[in-house]
Amino acid sequence: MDDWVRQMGGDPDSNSSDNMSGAVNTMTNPTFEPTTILLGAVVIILFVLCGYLLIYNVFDIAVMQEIRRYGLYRTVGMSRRQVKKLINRQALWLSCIGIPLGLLAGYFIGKTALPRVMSILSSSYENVAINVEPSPILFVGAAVLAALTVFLSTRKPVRVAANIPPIEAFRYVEAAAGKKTAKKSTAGASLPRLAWSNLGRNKCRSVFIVASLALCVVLLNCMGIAAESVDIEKQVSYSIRTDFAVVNAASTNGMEGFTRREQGLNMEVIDAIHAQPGVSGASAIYKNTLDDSNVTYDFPVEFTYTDIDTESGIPAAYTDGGIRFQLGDDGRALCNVYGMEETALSRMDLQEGETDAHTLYERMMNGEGVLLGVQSDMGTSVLFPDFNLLDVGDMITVYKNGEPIMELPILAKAALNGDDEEIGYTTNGPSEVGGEGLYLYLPTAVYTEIYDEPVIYKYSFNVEEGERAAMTAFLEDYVTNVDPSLNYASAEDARQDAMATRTMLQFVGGLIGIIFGVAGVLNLTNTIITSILARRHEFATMQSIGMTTKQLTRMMVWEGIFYAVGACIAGLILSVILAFTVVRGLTGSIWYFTFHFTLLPAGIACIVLLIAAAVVPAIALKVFNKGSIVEKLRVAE
Amino acid sequence: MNTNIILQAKDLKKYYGKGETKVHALDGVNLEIETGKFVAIIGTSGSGKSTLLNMLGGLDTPTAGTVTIGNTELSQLNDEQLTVFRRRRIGFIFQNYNLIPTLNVWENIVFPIAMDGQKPDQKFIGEIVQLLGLEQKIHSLPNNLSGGQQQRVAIARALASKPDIILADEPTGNLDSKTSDNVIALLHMTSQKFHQTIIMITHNPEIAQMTDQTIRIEDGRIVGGL
Repeated sequence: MDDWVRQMGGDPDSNSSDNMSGAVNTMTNPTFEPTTILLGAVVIILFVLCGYLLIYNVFDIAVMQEIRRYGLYRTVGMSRRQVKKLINRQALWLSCIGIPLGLLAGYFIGKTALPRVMSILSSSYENVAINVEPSPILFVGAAVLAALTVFLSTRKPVRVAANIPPIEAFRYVEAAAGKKTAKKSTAGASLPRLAWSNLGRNKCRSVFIVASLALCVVLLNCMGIAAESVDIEKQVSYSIRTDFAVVNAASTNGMEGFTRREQGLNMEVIDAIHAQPGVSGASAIYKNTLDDSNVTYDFPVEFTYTDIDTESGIPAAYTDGGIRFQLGDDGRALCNVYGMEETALSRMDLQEGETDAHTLYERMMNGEGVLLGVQSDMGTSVLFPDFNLLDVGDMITVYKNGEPIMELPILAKAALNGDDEEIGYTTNGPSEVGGEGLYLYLPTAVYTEIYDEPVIYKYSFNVEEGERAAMTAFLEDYVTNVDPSLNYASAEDARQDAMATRTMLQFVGGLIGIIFGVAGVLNLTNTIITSILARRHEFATMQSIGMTTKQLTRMMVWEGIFYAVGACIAGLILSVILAFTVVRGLTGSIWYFTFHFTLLPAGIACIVLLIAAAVVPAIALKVFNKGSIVEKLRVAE
Repeated sequence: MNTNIILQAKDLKKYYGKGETKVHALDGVNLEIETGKFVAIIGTSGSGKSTLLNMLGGLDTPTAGTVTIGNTELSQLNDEQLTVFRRRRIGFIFQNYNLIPTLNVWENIVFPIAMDGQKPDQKFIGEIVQLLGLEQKIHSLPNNLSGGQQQRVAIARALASKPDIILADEPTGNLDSKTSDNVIALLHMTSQKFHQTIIMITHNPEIAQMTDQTIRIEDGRIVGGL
C-alpha cells in the first residue's frame, strides 16, 4: 500500500502536508481532505450556477413570451397563485422529462468516457483492473441537484408572471429603456452605438450572459494552466536518472520488490545490453537482500521499541519518530545498502559533506567512509527532517556475523529519489529489506568486500538518442521472449506516464470547459432570439425609416459581439486573478506541478466565443425576423 | 408625366388570402399627387387607407399596379434599394410614433440620415427642432415624453432628411383634440415652409378639412375627393 501511494505521487513515509498528491488521491480513493472538499464544492457550485443561468434564462424568456397569455388568464379570473402554479407545473413536467433523460445520457457518457480517463491515468499499472459501476448515490445526487437548480431558477420568472397586472401584460415590452429618462449624446446613431444601447434594456440578463460566457473562458484557462503546469521532467527525473534501467520484474511490481538474492540480474542480460550500440554510462547496482542478514550496521540512532512483523517474522526496531529499521541476525539494523560504479554515483543528488562525486568515490574506495541517502521531498529535493537522523562525520560500524569488520564515517549525504531507492515510484524492496532506515551507498569494490554473495539488482545505462528506439525494441523483446523474469524502465516510459496526467487534465478540463461554453452560447442564443422576437416591431420601424436588412444584421452582430467582448474581458481578467491565486495555490500543493502561467486556452475560448457571438445573431435574425415590414409594424397595434 | 406630379399610382391592387376568404384591400386605385400639396386620405376602418399608404411608401408590395415617386417606379427596386430610397425620399409618421426607445430625441431625429452614412445638416435640423419646440428635450429618451412631444419628434425625424414626400398614418390618432390640432398645424406649417408634399391618413373629417385636398376611400376604391 505504501508503495502504491508512492507511485501515485505521494510519500507514505512523510507526514509533511505538502507532500500529498491531492489530485491523484481524490481520483482513486476519496479522502476527506479540506482541499478536496473545497475543490468539489467549487465544481458543484459552478455547475449549479451554470445550470441556474441557463434554466433561469430559458424560463425568463418563456414567461416573457407568454406574458400576454398570463395577462389574459389573469383578466379572465385566474388568481396570482394559480398563475404561479401553472408555471411551476410546467417546470415540474419539464424536469420529469429532462432529468431522467439527462441521467440516462450521463450514464452512457460516463460508461464510455470514464474507462478512457482511467486507462490514461493508470497506464503504468498493468495489474489495476478498471471497472466502472454506476453509483446510485451519484444518480440520486445529480437528480436532486438538477431539481434544486430548476427550483431556484424558476423563482424569479414565476414571480414576474404572477405579479404582472392583467392590463399591463398586453403592453409588456421588455423594460423599454430602463429608468433612464435622458441620455446626453448627439453623436448620432451608429450601429455599434445602437447595439450597445440595446444591451442596457435588461441589464440583469446582459450580466448573466456575460457571466455564463466568462465562466467557460475562466474554467478552460484554469484547467489549461493546471495541464501546462504538470512538470513532466520533474516526474521523469524523480523516477529514473538514466535513459534505461533493467531490473527483476519484482522491482517494477508495486506488490513485490527486490528482496532476495535469486532475484539478482545475471551476466547474460548485462552482456546482451553491452552488445547493443550506443550504450554509455552503464553501471551495475548491487543491493543487499533479506538473504544477507548476517551483515548489519550500528550507528548513533536510538530505538525506542521493537516488534516482530507477523507476516515475515522479521524483527524491527523503531525510533521515537516511528522510523522503522528491520533487524538482522545479531539484532542490529540491516539497512539498505547499495554498491555502484562512480558513473552511477555521480548522477545522485549530493547535498551535504563531500559533494564532489569523484573525490567522494575515491575516498570511499580508500575505505574512508560511506554516502548516506536521505528520503527527500519529491518536488524540492529537500531532505525530510524525520528521516535525516545522522550528520556528516557520524560513525557507522559494519558488523558481519556479529563481529565489527569496518568503521565507515558518513562522508556525504544525498537526497534520494525513486530511482535511488529502487526504480520509478516503487520502493517496496528497500522497505521490506532494510525498512525505512538507513540508505547507504558504497563503491562496488567495497560492497563486494562486505557481502559474501553480492547480487546486482539493477543495471542502469544511457543510450545515444538515435539508438534509443532500437534499445527499447531490444529490451521489449528480451523481457518478453528471452527472460520474462526481467523488466525494464525507461525515461521515455516515465515521460509518457507523466504526459498521461497532463492529457487527463486536458481531457477533463476541456470537457468541462466545453460544457460550460455550450451552455453559455445557448444562453446567448436564447437571449438573442428573445430579443429579436420582442423587438420585431422596433426592427420594422427602423427598416421602414431607412435601415437596410444588412444594417439590421450588422447591428445584431454588434450586440452579440458586445456580449462576447464583455465575457472575454471579464474572463481574461478573472483567469489571471484565479491563476495567480487559486490555481497556483492548488498546483503548488502537489509535487509534480510547477506553476506555469498561460492565457492560451482563454485566448482560444475568446476567439471561439467571438465567432459564435457574431454568427448566432446573423442566423437567428434570418430565422426569427421573417415576415414583411407591414406585418411586423402591425404587431403592436 | 406632368412635371408637377410627385407621386402617381396606377391601377393599384392588393389582395389578401384565397378563394372565399380573399380580401380586396385595394381594388384598382389610380392616384396623382402634385408637389407641395397637403393631402388627406379619409375612410372608415378597414377601407384600405393604411394599405394604400404602405403601397405608396414602398413598405408593402402591390398584387398588381405600379407606384411611381418622382421618376422612380418602386416595383423596379429590390429590398435594399427600396430601403435606401425610403430613407432618402420618403418620411414616415406613424400613429404610435414608433420612436426607438433606446435613442434620445436627437438620435431618433437623425436616425435615417445616420443609416444613410450622411452627416446631418445641423442648421436645418436645428431649425426643425426649434420650429417643433423640442429644444429642451433634445437629450430626453422617448419614455420621458408626452404623446404630443413624441409625435413632434416623429415629424422632425420625417423632415430631417429633406424627403420628397411625407406619409403620415393617422398622426393624431393617439392624441387629444387640442394636441391634434397643434400637430396638424405644425404639419401644415412645415409643408409650406419646406415645400413638402404630405399625404396623411385620418378618419377625422375636421382634420381633413384643414388640408389642400381630400381623398375618400371605401372598400379599396377611391370614391371621391379627387
